[in-house]
Amino acid sequence: MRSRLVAMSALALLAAAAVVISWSGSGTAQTARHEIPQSFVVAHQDTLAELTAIGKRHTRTGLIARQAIAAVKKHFEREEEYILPPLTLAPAIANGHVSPDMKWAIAMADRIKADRETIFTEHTVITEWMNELAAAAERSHEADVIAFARGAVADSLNDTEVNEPMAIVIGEYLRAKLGP
Amino acid sequence: MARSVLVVAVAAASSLLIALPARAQNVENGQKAFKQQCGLCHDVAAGKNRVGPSLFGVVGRKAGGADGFHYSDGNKNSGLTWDQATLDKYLADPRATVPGTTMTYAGLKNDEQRKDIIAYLATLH
Repeated sequence: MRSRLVAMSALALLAAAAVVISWSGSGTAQTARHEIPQSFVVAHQDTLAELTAIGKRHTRTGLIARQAIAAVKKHFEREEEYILPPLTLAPAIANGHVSPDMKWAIAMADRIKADRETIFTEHTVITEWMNELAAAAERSHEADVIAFARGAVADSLNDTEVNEPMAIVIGEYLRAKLGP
Repeated sequence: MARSVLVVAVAAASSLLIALPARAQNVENGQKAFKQQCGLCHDVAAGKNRVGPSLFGVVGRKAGGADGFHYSDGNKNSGLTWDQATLDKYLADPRATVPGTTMTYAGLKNDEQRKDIIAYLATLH
């Protein structure tokens, strides 16, 4: 009787362990993240660090920066999830190298196309915050904050003009070379 | 006859005197609103493009017409001329007026502020 109980407990434990392993495995697959170009890692870190530093000021710009940071973080998370990873393939593709293990970028490019208006709206929200930040900074003569806001709107235009279309081009190129 | 001409002239002069300060007020308010809403991306000096094109001489200019600025296809091919009515529509909702524009601006919903900004832009010649 006791050995049966021990065996049943062991089975139950094994089953539970299997469920945990299976769940975490599928979770990993679903949330598998690809790297982004290192230049963007640095740019995102610097932008958030600078905005956080402005947010610590006891000024109107500090208040605006604290409010703006959520919109910037949200957009960066989206970029890091599926807009920027395809760009890591650009150097290899430019060197004429295409392989089936690059196929993940096709789905990301399709997602960028589907979400284009949402992504654009996020840029407009960031621009609104930067306008407000720069206007407050002009009144308080914080030249560094105006420079930061100018840099941020230039980055937004860079995303719209170059990075997002380029990620889509990479996806389309891979589809043409590797099939759907 | 001479009396009626005089009456008309006096009426015209009076309305001009009333209109001039109102217009000056529009321009002044417009300059302030411009700084807050547009000044981060647009310069008003001739030929000085930033993230957006220079807006010197924009009123009456064809869309996509600032020298040395790389426009979106949407803007270049819009066929628009920036008269006051078109600017008003564009400033209210840029993406709806010029699909494909890369101007990351949601639009200015305040009618009075748009009118003031356009009054200010009209002075830039």
